[in-house]
Amino acid sequence: MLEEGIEDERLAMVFAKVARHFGRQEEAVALLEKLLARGRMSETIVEPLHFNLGKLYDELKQYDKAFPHFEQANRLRPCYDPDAFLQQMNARANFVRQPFFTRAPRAENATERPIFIVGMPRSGQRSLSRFWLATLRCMAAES
Amino acid sequence: MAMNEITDGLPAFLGTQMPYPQCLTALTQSAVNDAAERYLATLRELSADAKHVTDKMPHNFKHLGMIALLFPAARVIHCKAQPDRQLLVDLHL
Repeated sequence: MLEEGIEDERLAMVFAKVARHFGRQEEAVALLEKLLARGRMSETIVEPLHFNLGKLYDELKQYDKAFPHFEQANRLRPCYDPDAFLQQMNARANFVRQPFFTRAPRAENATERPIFIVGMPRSGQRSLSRFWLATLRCMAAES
Repeated sequence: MAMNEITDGLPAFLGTQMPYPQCLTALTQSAVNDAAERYLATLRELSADAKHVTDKMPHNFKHLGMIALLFPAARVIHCKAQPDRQLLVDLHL
């Protein structure tokens, strides 16, 4: 698609992520710089473009060029807002409490194979996972 | 395939403009079966013979509703820290 001249921001970011495997970082840099110079993009696109460009320059050991892009990406990244996050999570919890959810189709499997472990960081999830890895015929998906 | 990858791709998969989780209102039996199978295929790639596969990805708590739809018989374990014990752990006592 890139060779056909399609200049899409999301496609460019995929290219930026895989470029190092093919030694094509400089091409990816040129593409991302071109897209950024074009402007007229939302911050949600510009922020990852800067971040990917920073990573590419970093891989190319051009640290002086990498750093301003990382700084710019961090400036554009929205700050963590605990109240907004709590509101979002409450909305999500309330959503699945609605009557439609009890009628929603369930997958027709009876597998007990996946075990989901949730909790706050440092609440023993890793210990529990390691215990099972050591004692049961168990595997960790996140590894 | 992690749970967040399933949920991120769900609106497109269901052919709806509604974001996740609102798009769950458009969920069909075949779509939920297919999404579950894609996750299980990833587990098979990790290990063909493990009896269980634990998944403690940090954002799984956001997807408990989806997990209940995809794996009605799967276990979900909620780990809770005790503040006093946590202090001892952090001080390496």
